[in-house]
Amino acid sequence: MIEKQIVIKDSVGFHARTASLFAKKAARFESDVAIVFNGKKVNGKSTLSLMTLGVKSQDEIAITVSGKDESLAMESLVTLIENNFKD
Amino acid sequence: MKKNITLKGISASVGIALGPIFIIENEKPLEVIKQKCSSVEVEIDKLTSSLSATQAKVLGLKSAMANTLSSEELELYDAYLEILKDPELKANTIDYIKEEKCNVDFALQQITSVYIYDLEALDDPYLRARAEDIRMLNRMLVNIIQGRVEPEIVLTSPSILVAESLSTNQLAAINAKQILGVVTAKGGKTDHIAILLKSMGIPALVGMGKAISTLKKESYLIIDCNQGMLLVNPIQEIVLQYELLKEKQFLDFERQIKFSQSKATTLSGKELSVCANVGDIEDMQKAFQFGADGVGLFRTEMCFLESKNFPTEESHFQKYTSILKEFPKALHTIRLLDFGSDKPLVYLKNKIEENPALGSRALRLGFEYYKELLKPQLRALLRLSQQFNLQLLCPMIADIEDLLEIKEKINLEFHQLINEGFEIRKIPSIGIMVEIPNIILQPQAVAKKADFFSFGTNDLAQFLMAADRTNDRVTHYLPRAKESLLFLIENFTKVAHEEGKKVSVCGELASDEECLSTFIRIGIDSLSMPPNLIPGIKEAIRNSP
Repeated sequence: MIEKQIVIKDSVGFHARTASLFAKKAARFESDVAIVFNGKKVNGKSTLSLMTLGVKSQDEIAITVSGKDESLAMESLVTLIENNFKD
Repeated sequence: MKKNITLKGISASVGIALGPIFIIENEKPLEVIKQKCSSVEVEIDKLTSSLSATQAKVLGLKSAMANTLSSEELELYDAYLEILKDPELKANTIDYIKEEKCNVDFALQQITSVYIYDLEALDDPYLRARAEDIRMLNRMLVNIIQGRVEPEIVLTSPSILVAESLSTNQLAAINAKQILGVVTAKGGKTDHIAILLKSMGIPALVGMGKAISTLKKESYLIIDCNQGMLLVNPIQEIVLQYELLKEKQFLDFERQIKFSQSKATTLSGKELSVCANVGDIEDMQKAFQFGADGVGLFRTEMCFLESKNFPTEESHFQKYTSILKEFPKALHTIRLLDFGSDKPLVYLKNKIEENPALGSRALRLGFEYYKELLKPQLRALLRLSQQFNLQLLCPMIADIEDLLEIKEKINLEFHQLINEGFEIRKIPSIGIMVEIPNIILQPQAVAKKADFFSFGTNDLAQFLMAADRTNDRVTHYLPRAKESLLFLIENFTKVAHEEGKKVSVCGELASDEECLSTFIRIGIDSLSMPPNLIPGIKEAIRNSP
């Protein structure tokens, strides 16, 4: 299992659009993806759960990934966030 | 005798509507009762098929709205689709069915209500509003599972719709040609539905409150968006007045818009461009629709008034792209961020100034917070200049030194981007917003150094009269600057034209019909104003000698 802290820099945070882009990307990997924010842990492949976190711009979240393709998955999810959800 | 009354509301659109009332009943609450199921598999199959049927429905709604909504608004439908595909929504519902051996609609209702509860507890108003979307999706799913059909709203004749609230779904299902106007008890100006009605040109009043419950089935209504008024059962004389007013407004605007698409030329053959002042996507759509010859002033700071932090390069890039593509072929004059003074930055709140209008604002603030504020914007604009026809307008330039500094910065970012592998052909034209008197006292020197000029008459008047625009006790001085402004504009334009540079006027003076003859005489190259004033000014130019 690998874990990484990252700041969401997109101007809105996890809104409907950004949450769905993240969940879509996470779903491409076999590994389990979880997001921890404010003491709450949710499935990173679920748009709905990501929205309910209420992550705002400049908030820091923790991503944990575990599974066969964990390092590739982590790298690609971090890149997505760093590019402000643009592929 | 029917009672005639007048009610106040919030204008969410423009225009006047007259017609009979059509009351839309509130949606009936869903009836979902827990029952033992005979086969868990059958319930799970029902879930799978209702999810895909609802996805198909959402896709249908999206394409029905494709021509009405901007791409940004359409993205909401993509988010609906992702929610319907959400692995957790499905897995949790299946788990619930298995555990409780119950019917799928009950399980679904239980699971979605948890998400709705969580969303409603957030302090972000945007996400809180999404709870309503989940409710709507749940309703669509349950309707399919139960084989329940929502009563269709059928308008047989053109009417004014009156409802507690109206969803975008309901609106999409009604033949728009039959909707004369909309009146709702709930809602505000910025709701999704309000934006939609405005872009469809349907007069609408929202936030009417409980007053609408007094409206009866056979009422006759007048919506007056100019005054935010709803007239109920008005007397014949008033109806006649409004019919004439509506007819006149319609004919005036129709005539003006028809001719607005081509350039305006005076009777003696002088051409004058009429451009748009733009601050958001709606302005840009109107600029295109109302025949702007280009965008004379794009107020970029308007895109980020709500930002809680310095906007990033990507947010600049994305925001401008979404707006510029509404009018892709135009020449866009982009004013660099003009924060400060009457548009303070919340995240710089510690820096209180005694005289903010004369303080660190606009480009001064940009130089002070170069890396955080100006650099990301310059990079985003240079990148966008490959795709769109842009020129950069620099606000609050006090002297040549300011101009040289911003030119150097732009040059630096240009080369940096080239080194990073971006393909940018050349640096866009760089112009000065003429608003500090000092910059035009010696026209010869400055006319050589910048590529174009735009008079910001509002700030220039404030500085000429030493009268704060935001202080009610002295604002009466501002109109008195008119003659001096026209003198300065004429004086400067002569010199600028000798250098082959273009001059435009983009403050309030630009749409002042009294000044039009002066502008034509001195050969101003373009005027820039709010989009809805363009058709009228173009008509005035055509009627000028």
